[in-house]
Amino acid sequence: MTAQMKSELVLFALPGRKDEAWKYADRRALEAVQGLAPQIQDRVTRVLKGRDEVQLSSIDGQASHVEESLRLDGDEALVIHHLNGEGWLNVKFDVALNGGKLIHIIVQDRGAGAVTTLQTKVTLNNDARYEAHVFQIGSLYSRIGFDVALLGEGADFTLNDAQLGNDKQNLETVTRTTHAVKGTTCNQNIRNVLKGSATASFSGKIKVERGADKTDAEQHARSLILDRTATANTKPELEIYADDVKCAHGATVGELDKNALFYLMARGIAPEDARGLLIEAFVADVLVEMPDEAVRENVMARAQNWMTGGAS
Amino acid sequence: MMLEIKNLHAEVAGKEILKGLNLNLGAGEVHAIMGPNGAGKSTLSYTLAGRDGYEITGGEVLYKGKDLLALEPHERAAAGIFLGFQYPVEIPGVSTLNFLRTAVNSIRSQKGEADMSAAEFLKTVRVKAKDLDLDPEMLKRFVNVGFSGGEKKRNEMLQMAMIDPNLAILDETDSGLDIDALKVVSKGINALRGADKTILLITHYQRLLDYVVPDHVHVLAGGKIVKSGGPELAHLLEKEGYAGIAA
Repeated sequence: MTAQMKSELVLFALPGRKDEAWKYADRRALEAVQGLAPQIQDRVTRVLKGRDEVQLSSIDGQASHVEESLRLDGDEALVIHHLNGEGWLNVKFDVALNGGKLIHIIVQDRGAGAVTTLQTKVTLNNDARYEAHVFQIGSLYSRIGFDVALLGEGADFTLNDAQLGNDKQNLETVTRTTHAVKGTTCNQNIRNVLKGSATASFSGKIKVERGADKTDAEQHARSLILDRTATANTKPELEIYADDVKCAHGATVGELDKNALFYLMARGIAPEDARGLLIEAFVADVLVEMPDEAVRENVMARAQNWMTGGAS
Repeated sequence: MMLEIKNLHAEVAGKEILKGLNLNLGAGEVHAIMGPNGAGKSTLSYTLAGRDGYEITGGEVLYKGKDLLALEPHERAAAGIFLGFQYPVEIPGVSTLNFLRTAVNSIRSQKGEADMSAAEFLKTVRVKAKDLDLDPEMLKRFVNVGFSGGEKKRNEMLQMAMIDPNLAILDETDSGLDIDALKVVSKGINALRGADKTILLITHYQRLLDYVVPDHVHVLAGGKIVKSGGPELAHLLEKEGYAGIAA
């Protein structure tokens, strides 16, 4: 790869310490991977239709920078990103939807020492719909970011997100949603389940610009802490410059419901199975929405194995 | 003897609630425990079911001649003890069918029996639900979520019918029921009666006992059984109140 090509790719610059969008980031993990030998993959631009399954991975000790962009002019497409391997994987994914619907599934199941940064930038014109489904279970540090601009009436952004963290993992999802015109909607649902001394974060900024009336935005983040040593951060941020809007957000952090646990045990269900059933129910909320059956079953099985104590 | 409670003392949050309770329940019998609020009725049922936070400070409980208090809650269920909850718990995300099937098969597996097949389970549950006037469609919904008070209690009866316990402890199963629901629930309780079954009704009011006629009635007050008798005792209580009887 020539120096010329390399410079065309937007590489990763370490964010400033005061950058709010990186408030919960694992700086130490990011600094550690900055110097890794870059293993840059070509820029890909695709006009998609139908289904596309992409495996992205980097090798331990190396950094892989991937830049992809996609344009959709109507119709419906499905993109599945499987993020695997060790090392640092840095993905920039630009999406422009001139109508139609993109379903974007991200399954982040990388190695225990991996660092992952994925930033999706989406523009949505009239009636375009972007539906993202995230399942994060791997990496030491992983940050999935969405920067979504709703530029046309009827545009919708839906996010279903499950983050399962164990040991010293730090997993986060960061959304920035801009409602630029009237009649746009977004619905973001996040579920975190945490063991050990893991951290999961959700920062969601919703900006409703002047004139973007009839905006309907919802953000719900719920975290389940299975060990007292785990941490959940939720930071909703609303910036509203229009009058006639609906913005709802809610965040809860809790432990397993003791009443429900006893109820299940009183019906003969062993404590560990009762716990598994309740944790499964907690994340199933967002996982059942995953539209691809094969991936959904795979992810559910992965989650179940995690709950019953399998390695993360 | 199905259950022998001998001089049982139990504490909740450091406060003694049961203060030397004695009670013998024979096989094939229906007993009713009545008592004023705060007498220890719910503490007794939770203690027998093995709930965390209910600490036994004295006495013993024998179930079919064996130490009940040594068993975990799920082991008690597998041994044949069923607690009907006064306030059935809502479990969002778990369908009623999945819950029932998991319960039935967990108990079977603890007894070393094979799982009930999906077909047999569905067939059985449909029949039992119909007996209790429960719409089978409701069973697809999350456990007790969005159920009315009556539906929750009928759901308890459905669980009891599916599990088919030997000792059913029913904690205020009649509370919050209108007369039609009370009749349906009573039918569910009466269906369980049998030579190898024991039913313990814990109730505040005599109303349920018109439909499920007990063999023995006990008055619980101040953490002890203070009076025992036949069905006529319930009527006396209804007429004269607890103050006169329990004093």
